[in-house]
Amino acid sequence: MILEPKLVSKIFDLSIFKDIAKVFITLFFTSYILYTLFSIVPGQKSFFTNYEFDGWDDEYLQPIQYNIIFDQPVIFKNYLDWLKNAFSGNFGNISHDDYEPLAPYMFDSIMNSFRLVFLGIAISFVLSLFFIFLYQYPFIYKNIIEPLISMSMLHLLFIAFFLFEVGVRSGLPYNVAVAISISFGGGVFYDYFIMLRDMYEKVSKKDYITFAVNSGFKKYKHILAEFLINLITITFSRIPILFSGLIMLEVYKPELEGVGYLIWRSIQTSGDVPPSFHAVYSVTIILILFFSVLFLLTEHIRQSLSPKEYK
Amino acid sequence: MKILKYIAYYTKIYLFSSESFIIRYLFSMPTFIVTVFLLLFILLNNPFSSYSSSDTVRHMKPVQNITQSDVNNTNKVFYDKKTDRDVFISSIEANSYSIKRIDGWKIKGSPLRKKEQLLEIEPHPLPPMVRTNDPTSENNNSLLILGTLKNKKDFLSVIIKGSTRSFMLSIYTLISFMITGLTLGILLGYYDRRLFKWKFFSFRTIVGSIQKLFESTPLILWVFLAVIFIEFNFKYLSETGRQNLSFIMFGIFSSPALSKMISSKMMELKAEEFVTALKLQGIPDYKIIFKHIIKYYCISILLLQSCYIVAQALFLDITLNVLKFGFLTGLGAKVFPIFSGLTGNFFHLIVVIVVEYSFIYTFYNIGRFIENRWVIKNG
Repeated sequence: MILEPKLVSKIFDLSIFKDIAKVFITLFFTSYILYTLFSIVPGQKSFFTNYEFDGWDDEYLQPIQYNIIFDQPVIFKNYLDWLKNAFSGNFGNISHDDYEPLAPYMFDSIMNSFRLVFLGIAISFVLSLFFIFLYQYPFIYKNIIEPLISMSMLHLLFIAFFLFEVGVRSGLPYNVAVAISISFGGGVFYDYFIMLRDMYEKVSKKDYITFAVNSGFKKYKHILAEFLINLITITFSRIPILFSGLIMLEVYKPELEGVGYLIWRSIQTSGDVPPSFHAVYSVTIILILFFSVLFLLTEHIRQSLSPKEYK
Repeated sequence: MKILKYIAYYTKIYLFSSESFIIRYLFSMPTFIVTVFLLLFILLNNPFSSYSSSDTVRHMKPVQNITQSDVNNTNKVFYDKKTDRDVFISSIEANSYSIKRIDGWKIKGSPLRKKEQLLEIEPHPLPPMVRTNDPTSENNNSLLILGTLKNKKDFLSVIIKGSTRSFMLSIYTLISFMITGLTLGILLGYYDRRLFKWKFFSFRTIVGSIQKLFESTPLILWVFLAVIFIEFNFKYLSETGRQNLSFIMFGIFSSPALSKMISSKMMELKAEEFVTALKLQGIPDYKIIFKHIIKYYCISILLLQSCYIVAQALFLDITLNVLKFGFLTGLGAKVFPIFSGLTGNFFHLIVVIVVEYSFIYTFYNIGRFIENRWVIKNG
């Protein structure tokens, strides 16, 4: 069976903790480098002083602004301060002219984006099932399905925007247009379609499945195992790409209240108010952490469920 | 003679074989539909009519110069989006209308129809193909196949100029993508055992972790960060230089996928007998890598990935314009205003969609062609 207790323990064996430790170590160094890079952006005083405008001495600022040096002790000290605050849920204010705390707004935005991502995934899956049904008609496949799939194949972010515009202008409801455009633009539709087609054409003819059928086991049980592996791998590996497509739509349509808009508004300058890079940095680090752990889990689940390992 | 034979052979493969992407592309339904649409538009537009350019001039009239007779003579009334933004906004504010949000010059949810002040005249649904009698134009009496934009620029030349710049940017991306991907792929795949290793840390684990980090995070986020960093820190560079640098960074961020494929292929082939035989014959490593492994076994991966990255880079320009990074010279800078209704009308939108879709469908067919021809052949 797919979900045997032995298998579950196999997924969460010690190696996963080793890999998570690796992720955290890499993230620590990467985030430090990013912090330093953001810190040396001219005019970005606020980043050093825990989100206050003044309080940075020129004697510290000047050498850092004009020399890209990673061993500035003050940057490292500030980075550790940022980490300490981040662990206690304090990411500073939303921006320099909006003094609301960033953390709840950021997590709300991330959740809004994920809702749309999962909606896109669900719609892609349903659409690909429908297209698999039409796949048996060569004329429809060549002239309708293939051109539509071509848009999804390249995982082009622009497609999301392009389809959204066309969808809305041709009278599609707003939410449906968003979901369809991100499912096509993120490439997940193409991947699901190819996966289902392979299930239909190749997996059912594999040697081990023929052997299992001849030995008296049910065919679909084994196909389902492979289907689940592919489904999990594709779904989780495509989430970052869907997310990318969504960022663009969120900037274009701020009413979606997603994380894309939060990043975009944080890099804008209005009057004397500088861009809020601390918000961009915080969102980036949270997303990198989330996606790295997700990627790792997917790899472990895939390895544990794969028929070779299982045997 | 030999060259002619080669030309004939490759022409047969690329043009007339059943797998040829050109044949697939030309004889598919979307191409047919697109062609019919274009023909219809051209016929409807009637290039030989005496469609006066004075309409175009009136079309571009600033808000404050529009008279009552203009209002009476037009069928369609809009607000003026392009000519004078300040007059437009102040006219709304003076009449105490509420402005909810100005986004790309569109105003949503505000009762803004006041004919005398907010007006744009569209006497014909399509732009003129032949512009005549326009003394102010440099291209007077010239044939403008795709008509003009609202700012009187020839649409076809705008598209071609933008595409050329975007194509150059995608070449920069391709170069950085290839260099980074191939270098890391060869180092991790072929020279793996000779590289630095200390207890738990090795070159492979360090680079692997960084690659995983890049791969698992949305690519656009890295591009975002790179663009922000370049825009703020490289102010001494020209706009073109900063654009080039951003696209070079994009190539580097996309390279983990290529390096992973190359390294796994190298590791797989390293154990093969022919590589051992070549080594025993004293052939240097670089020759084994480039003349034997890459030339015969990795070329399909390289071609396929190149296709994808060029397509991605072409559209990244548009993506960055949607995100309002203000890249001014690429195709995106021309296309996005048309989408948001700033410089073009529905006809321009259709043309842009056709151009973009043709790009996508061509790349899709090239990708499939390479997959079928080389990947299957070389396993």
